[in-house]
Amino acid sequence: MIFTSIDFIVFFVFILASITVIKHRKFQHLILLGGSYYFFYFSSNYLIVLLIFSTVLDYYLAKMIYNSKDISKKKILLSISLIGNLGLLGFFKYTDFAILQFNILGNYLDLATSIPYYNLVLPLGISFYTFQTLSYTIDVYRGSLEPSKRFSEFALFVAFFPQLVAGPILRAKQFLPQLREKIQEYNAGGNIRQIVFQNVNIKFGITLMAFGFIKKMFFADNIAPLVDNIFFNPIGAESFTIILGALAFAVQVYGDFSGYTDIAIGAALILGFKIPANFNKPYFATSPTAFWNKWHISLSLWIRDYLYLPLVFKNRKSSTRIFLSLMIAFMLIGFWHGDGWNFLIFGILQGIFVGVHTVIRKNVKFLRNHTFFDTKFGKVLSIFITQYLIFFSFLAFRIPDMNHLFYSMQKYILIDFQVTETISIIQSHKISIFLMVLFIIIHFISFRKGNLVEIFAKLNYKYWTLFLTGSILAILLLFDGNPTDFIYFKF
Amino acid sequence: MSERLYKLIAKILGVNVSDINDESSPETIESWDSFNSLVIVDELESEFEVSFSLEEIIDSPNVSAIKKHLKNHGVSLDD
Repeated sequence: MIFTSIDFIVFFVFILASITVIKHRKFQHLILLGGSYYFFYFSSNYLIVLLIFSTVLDYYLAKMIYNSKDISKKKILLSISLIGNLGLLGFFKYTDFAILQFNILGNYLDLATSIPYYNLVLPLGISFYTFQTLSYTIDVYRGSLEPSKRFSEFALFVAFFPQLVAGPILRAKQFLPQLREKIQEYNAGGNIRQIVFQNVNIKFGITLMAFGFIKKMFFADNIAPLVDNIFFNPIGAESFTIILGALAFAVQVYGDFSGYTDIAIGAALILGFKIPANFNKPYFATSPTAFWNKWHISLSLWIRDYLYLPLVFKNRKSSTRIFLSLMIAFMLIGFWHGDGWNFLIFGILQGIFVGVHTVIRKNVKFLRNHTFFDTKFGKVLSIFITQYLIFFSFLAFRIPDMNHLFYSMQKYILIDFQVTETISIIQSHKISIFLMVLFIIIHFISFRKGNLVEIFAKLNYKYWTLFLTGSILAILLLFDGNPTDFIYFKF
Repeated sequence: MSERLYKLIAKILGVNVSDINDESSPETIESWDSFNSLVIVDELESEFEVSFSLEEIIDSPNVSAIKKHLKNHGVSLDD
């Protein structure tokens, strides 16, 4: 069920209506849980058993970890959780990729037979909910979280439909208190409290969802044809065409993914739940490290807390250790995105950028807080260099074919200064180019003026309604009737 | 003592002391990234002669949490 489909709108309105009718808080949560499972089943059918498997596994393992006094037993139980979840993820996501590599190797060695593919369907959201449940068991193991006492509470944390498919990856510490706070007063014999739809949450939530729909359906989906055209077969393309493609893809993927996140966070807010932001103007980051504080924040924090810091903690004065830990972390981030060498290359590039930046800052102290970087020119230069590197790595993210990828990378770096083809492409994709430029302008205004969502959510109802109406009309103007998947649904 | 903590963090992050308060965090200060988080940890350990665990480093979302961990290590931060 795609967020941008009528099915989702009908489903969401049904959930809201059900919660409004059912006043008893515990049943409201069961409606949310049932709705979340239905949402998953609608898209993934029988693969819902995997979601339930992860939920049951980690619910009971976390309890056992918490109740055990023996550190060795705790480690074994945690290992079962890690193997169970990462094993599932690895099997469904990488089996066919591994078979492909074996078959390529077998061809190269002239072996007679090849291994047949499983043609596995990637379960929806598996990359996200497995990381979410793992954070839960690891936090219980570390002693920083008490396990949930109620299965339905934990199950809702795992399956909460606004963020189930493509994040943000929630932490139990952020979500469970919100659930428990709503239950507590009822159990203490207080008045039955409903999930109250607060006007301020509804208005902000709808505004945020509107922004998400605009980013995805107005901008990203209409810039996609330009990107697809350039990278369908870039061999022979001019440098400026490749750079245009990289820039267009950067706008497309940001509009697509942050648009999804806006819809997810907005929907959750309407339901009364606060989910942390996943983006913070990443294209104005002044360094590769700063970029990952602003892009897919929930994933980079997960990797930081559960992989990078444990790797680097004991020997954090060693530049080599820091660099290697960053490389491992980013290679995992790359591979997490998909079963292709291009994603690994994406991760390696990011690891190199962040690693080199970190090691330089560590060892060249006079650069660390040099006043040049506080000047306007210094900041602008930092942004341009950072985004040049980020968009370069986005080529790997977008182009799965290795020949196409290496050609594009070469053309991105070694500019040939040809313009004929680029001009022709611009002329044949006027709408996409216009939307790209418009998006960049609005994004810059947002960077300078602050959160545009807050500004629009505070409009009086007359202008707010105009904004919503204008948004719907803008989307319909360019909508061809076929909602397209979000890019991150593939992960 | 809080002032001492704020000055140390401000110096590492390259901001004014007045920009640091208990609610300051990586979300509110641009230069507070994972690298500077570890620099802050190293400097705090030297300055206050404590040794943080991995869990404490991870569980430091803002200055207020850092103060809590320092108090747990016996460092008094009352002004």
